[in-house]
Amino acid sequence: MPTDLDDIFASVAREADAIPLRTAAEARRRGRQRSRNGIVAAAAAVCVVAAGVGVLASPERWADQKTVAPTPSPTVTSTTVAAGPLPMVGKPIPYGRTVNETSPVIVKGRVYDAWKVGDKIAVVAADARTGEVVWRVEGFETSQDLGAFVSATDDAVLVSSGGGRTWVLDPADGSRRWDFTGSHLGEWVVHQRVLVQRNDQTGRVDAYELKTGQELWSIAPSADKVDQVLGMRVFGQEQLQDGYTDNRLVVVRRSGKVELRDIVSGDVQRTTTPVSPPQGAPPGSLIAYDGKLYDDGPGCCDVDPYRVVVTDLGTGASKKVFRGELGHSSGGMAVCDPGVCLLDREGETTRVLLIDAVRGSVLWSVPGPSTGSIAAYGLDILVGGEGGPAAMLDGNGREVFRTADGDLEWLDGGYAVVMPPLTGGEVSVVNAPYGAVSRLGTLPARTGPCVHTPDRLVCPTAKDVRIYQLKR
Amino acid sequence: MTTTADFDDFYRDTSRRLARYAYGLTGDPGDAQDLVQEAYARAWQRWRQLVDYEDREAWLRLVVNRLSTDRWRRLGVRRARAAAEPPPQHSPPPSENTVLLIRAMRTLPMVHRRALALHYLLDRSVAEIAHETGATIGTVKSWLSRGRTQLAAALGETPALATNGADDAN
Repeated sequence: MPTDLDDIFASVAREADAIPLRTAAEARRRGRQRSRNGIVAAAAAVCVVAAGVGVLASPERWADQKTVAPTPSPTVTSTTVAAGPLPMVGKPIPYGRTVNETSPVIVKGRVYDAWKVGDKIAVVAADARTGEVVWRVEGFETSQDLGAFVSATDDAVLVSSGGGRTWVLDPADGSRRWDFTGSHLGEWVVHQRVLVQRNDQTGRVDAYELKTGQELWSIAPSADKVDQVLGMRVFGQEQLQDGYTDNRLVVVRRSGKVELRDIVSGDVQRTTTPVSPPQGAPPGSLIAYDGKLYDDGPGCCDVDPYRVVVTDLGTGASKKVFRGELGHSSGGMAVCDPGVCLLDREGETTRVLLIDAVRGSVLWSVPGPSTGSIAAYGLDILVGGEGGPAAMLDGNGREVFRTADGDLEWLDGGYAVVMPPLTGGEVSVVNAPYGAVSRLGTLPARTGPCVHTPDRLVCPTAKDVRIYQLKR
Repeated sequence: MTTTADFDDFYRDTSRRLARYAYGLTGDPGDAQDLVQEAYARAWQRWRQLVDYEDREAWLRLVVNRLSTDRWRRLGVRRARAAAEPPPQHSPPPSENTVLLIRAMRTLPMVHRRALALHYLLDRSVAEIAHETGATIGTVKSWLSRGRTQLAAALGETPALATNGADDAN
């Protein structure tokens, strides 16, 4: 190799110049799409983490087996046979125009969806039980370049253009209550009564009364900047609910100090500095669940291997329960209460690990998918998907179900729904303990991801949004 | 000029340089593709504000900095892209030199890595790096000097081989 750094860097530059790049049009399209993702990110996080509740841990189920070899999927047992199309609830709710993609949500028995009408946004609310439209409003100023996205809690509907401005509506009739402008990379935490937002530039944190927009409290910018705010998940929380934190707010400072605050009053209940503090921890590497903070970010200075630290925010007890090997990275973490499930990646090789969060030992480790994410429901785990195969593992790491071209998402009570590709196909439900499959019916092509409750599936098409019955 | 045309021109003029920077930070062609695409997607989201920025390219690099240090976001970028778009064109794997250099770069603190990438891959002077990062010229010189020393050590070379006169730049 060349002995001069100039030569080596020049070689790197030449290679970089040969990397095929996408077009500006694709970047613009991705930008519009990204705006949608921003507003639904909180809901997505709810799905993954709230899924880590519901099945009580049974240590004997896995404590006796340290490592298991991957086993073939059991014979799939079909308990019902699809009788044709998935039954629809009510009639399709028309957009009145052709729409590229929307992101409906279901909250408290209501389906909400938003789409662009010229330079304005239209929002519809429908009864998820009957499919009947409850209200439809239009007129939130946006522009050709921005999108239209909706999110909701029990007591508020949030409509965003993706350009920073968000309107808060009354779920009763869609009337405007107040609006706010968020910073580009900052995040929200939504509580039933409170909206907390962090400005990523300044670290300032503001908490507003969700119904009125009245400022409740704030954290001023300081030298020890606030790097993240997180909501706390609790046992038994509804999976698809957007008001996704209890009264506890977790505030992570640049120094690694972690504050547990009352989200309504802003009062600091306890300040803890975890062992191996999360200094500059990337969003997504921290999970606040049932009073504990789970961190699978890099240890220090962006050069250490990743590690998993579990900190009890009530007592301050903190333990490093796992340390990744050099060259490995975490592809995702889920709370498999009382353990931690991990996707440990090294290049294209992935392993799924279950870690005892008390003893800090690896209970088992099995080969995993090279793509996709991880979501747990108690000790049952969904891994993969997003373009690759997806599988369901039991608490011993044994594969109980696999699908080659669909996505697996937790439904409730240990059931997972198998969604077909966007081009359409069969919808099934898998029972985690047995791997038994119920085929529910076929779904036509759709333009974007569907959302679901235990008994409803809501999917957007180019012309309308449709509510289906999930009967198993 | 329309907003779209303005953005497209900006993309055409700057995307190659951003790809160099992203590649220098990650050493992975796929990651570099993703980061560039994501940075411009974010730029398009807030294009109205960005048009008033003095240095929009620096803003893009800031986004790449954040994303490149944020493994989770990088995974998110790739997942989102995989879900929404056809796979990008295949790019050849990095050369041995690149692998060695990036491996060595990863042992450096991120500030040193960024300074080296700006200087060696984008031909930014010490003064320009100081302006972009808000650091003093002395600090930037220190970053580059220490970065080169550490790189040379990691590559098994002597620091003397690793200079191009940047310390003299203003």
